[in-house]
Amino acid sequence: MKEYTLDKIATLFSDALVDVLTTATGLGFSIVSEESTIELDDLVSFLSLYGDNNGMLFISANEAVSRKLCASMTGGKDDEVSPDEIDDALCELANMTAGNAKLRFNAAGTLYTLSPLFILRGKDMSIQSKKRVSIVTRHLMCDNMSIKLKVVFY
Amino acid sequence: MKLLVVDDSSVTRKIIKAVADALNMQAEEAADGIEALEILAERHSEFDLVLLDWNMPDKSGFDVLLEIKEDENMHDLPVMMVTTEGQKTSIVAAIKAGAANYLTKPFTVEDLVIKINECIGWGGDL
Repeated sequence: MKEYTLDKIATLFSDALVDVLTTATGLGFSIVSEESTIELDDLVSFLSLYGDNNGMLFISANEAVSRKLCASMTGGKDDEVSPDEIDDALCELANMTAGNAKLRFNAAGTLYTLSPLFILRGKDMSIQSKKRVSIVTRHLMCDNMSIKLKVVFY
Repeated sequence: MKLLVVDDSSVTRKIIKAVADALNMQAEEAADGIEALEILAERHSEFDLVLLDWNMPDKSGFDVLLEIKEDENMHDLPVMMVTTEGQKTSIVAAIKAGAANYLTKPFTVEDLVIKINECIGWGGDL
């Protein structure tokens, strides 16, 4: 891994996500767990990063938390947001997190290009790879709201 | 005052439109660059400011900016980039291409109001 330890990468992305959540939603999330076996929730937004190293960023939350995040972003009520808006909000959070992280990498001379965004909805999803990859995860909480961050680099 | 909000994120369009409503401005939405250029080709004189995302499918916001600034009928229309592309090189490229202002996502409502006011000299507040 060029110039970065996995722990440094995880910190960089989780700091980016915390900053994005604070500005975009006004909610103060913090890291509560750094286990490598954190399972994803029912909604997962993700994108790829291409550059000095290639990777993928996954942000996951359950439907209720995603709804609350969307409502916080738009200044509306939880029951006023549509399923499409919930998906869009989680994608936009991943987009902003990747953009924020890209700036942090860029400041250290590492360049990345971001892919389009995708969203998955499902139950008991996990990420498997046949190739040897490095995976770091962080679990963030704000009150009883939970968000999972997973970064894969190869 | 009327804004054209161009972003493939419906949530971002909703946020900006809510701010425009609070400022007693009108806001029309376009979900991509091609739709934005179609709207502007027909009714560019209706708009006082275009808020333009950079990374969008089919046609990037930067390409839309270039087309607006190369069109003799639209080149005076102020354009503000609203994007996750926060690198200095992107900001410089957009300003050199004619962007009136640049706002990096995520932004606060206060940031957005300040930047809009800077673009159009409106001086309004929430």
